[in-house]
Amino acid sequence: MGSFRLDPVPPSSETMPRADGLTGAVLLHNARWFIRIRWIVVSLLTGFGVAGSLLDPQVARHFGFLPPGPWPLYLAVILTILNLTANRWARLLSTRTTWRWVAANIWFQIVTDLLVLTALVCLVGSTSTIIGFTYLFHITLACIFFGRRDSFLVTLLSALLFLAAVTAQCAGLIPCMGILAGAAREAPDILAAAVFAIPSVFVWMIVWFLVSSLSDTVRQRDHALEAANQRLIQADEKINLQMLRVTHDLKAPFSGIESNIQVLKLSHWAEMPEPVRQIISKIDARSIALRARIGDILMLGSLRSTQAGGRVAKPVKLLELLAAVVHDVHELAAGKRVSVALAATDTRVLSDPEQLRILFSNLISNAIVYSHEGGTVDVRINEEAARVKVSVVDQGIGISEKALPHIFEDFFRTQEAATFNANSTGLGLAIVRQVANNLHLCVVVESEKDKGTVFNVFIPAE
Amino acid sequence: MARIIIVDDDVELADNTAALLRKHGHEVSTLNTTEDAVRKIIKIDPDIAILDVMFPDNAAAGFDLSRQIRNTKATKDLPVILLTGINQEFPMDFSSKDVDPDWMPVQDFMEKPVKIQALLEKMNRLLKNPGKK
Repeated sequence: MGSFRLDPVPPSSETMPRADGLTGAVLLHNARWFIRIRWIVVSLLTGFGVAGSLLDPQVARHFGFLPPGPWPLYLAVILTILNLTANRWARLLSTRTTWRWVAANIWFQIVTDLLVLTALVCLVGSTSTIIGFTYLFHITLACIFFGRRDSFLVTLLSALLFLAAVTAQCAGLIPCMGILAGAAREAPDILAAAVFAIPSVFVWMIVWFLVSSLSDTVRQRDHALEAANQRLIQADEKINLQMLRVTHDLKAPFSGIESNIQVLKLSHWAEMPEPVRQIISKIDARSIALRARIGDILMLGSLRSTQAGGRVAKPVKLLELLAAVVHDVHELAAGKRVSVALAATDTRVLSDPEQLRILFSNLISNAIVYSHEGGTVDVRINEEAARVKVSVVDQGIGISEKALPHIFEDFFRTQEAATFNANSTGLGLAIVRQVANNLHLCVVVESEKDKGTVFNVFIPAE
Repeated sequence: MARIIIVDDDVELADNTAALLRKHGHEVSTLNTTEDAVRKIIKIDPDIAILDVMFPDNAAAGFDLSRQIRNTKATKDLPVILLTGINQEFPMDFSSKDVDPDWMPVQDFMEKPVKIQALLEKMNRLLKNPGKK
């Protein structure tokens, strides 16, 4: 027995306005990612502090290091407090928050990070180590997160803080620290410090220029792609609309044919020889089948244009709704001598009754159509923890395991189905998929060829 | 025998439905536009009205006309059956009890093309209980 699960497509979260090529949703994602990365930095600082306090100073000196003392732990605590603040703030933000608030959160994180990083640079050794190049991490991220102006501001702020720290150490305003045993713990030589610091800042500027240019190019490409995508979507919508209009117009002639055949049957049927009657009946059957196909195309088009969740959900009495559907298909069932059994207690769900009716009408009709003559179709409702399961069970021709993943595709028909029911439009299950997607339902199909099929529809409980 | 008015822009469909109803002994008039329809309906004084929804100049002309009929003193109690060729285009059950009767003041709905037996059954039911939806 094969099975296939159809899950609804989650709705897009791209609801916030764009800024510098980044949507608010992406910015929010970045802000949260930034917080997670900072926890790693906090862990590293804590590990460094603990290792430093446990390490024998003699051993550390032997390897050319000075014990750091408690400052890594102090910095870890400060960074933890700042990260908790940023995290609390980020939790209040959602994809519906205006872009400015998300950007403010990121700016808060960047500025506080740069201040803590400057303290770290001073403590590790601003000119005696290459710790200053960790500013590049922020500069690169700013180039990715923001436009050129804002990323330049981050670069400028980094450079100013670094140069201010080096100047303050040279002037003796703040004590000189370092973790390298060879580095003197007294004010560095101004010329040597300048030879180190100024080219460093120059390198940062070059990195900023290159990364921001690259990022800008990628963003422009992204914009061009998005614009092209929008044009394609609009063109697609226009074509769909025209197709729907043409399809709607196609319905009228078939209605006319059926109407004329009704007049023929009522007024002139007795006058016509049997072969002519047979031909007219065939024309009638073809016309009805074609009109049904047109109806399915129009229904699918309409369901696709219905915004997911756009319709107001109402309390739906499932048993009542299913009983109405079973009543609607009783002629079809009687024609095939298929009995439809509805066994369930009344259950309420919060959904769109019209779309549910369309979904179950298609599933139950299909179960009847693909049942053998004299077969049975069972419709059951089972209440589960947080959802309601509606099962439509038949003992019909079944679906092969190979075909199962494709049955919800537009116009898909297995060879067996096409042979068994020549009038199948191949759109019934595409309509089921669209309704399931619109109402965020999950549909699970279990089937065995020549044994039968079970469609389980899971609806969130009221 | 009942006096029936059919308002449908599709002349062929209107005429065929009229011919089928006449075969069953009813007196049928047809209109192919909704222009001045209420005045013409008052003049014909039918027992029941059968209205199409979509007309070339107004996609909801049948809805509008049904409201005009309900808001006109002479026709406010006239039973109306709407022919909804559009119910497949919209995921909406027009016959649902949830449909606001002020928005859609009609007694019944049918899909085009009408099956004459089903139409006769609906008409008979409405003529016996004109207010029932």
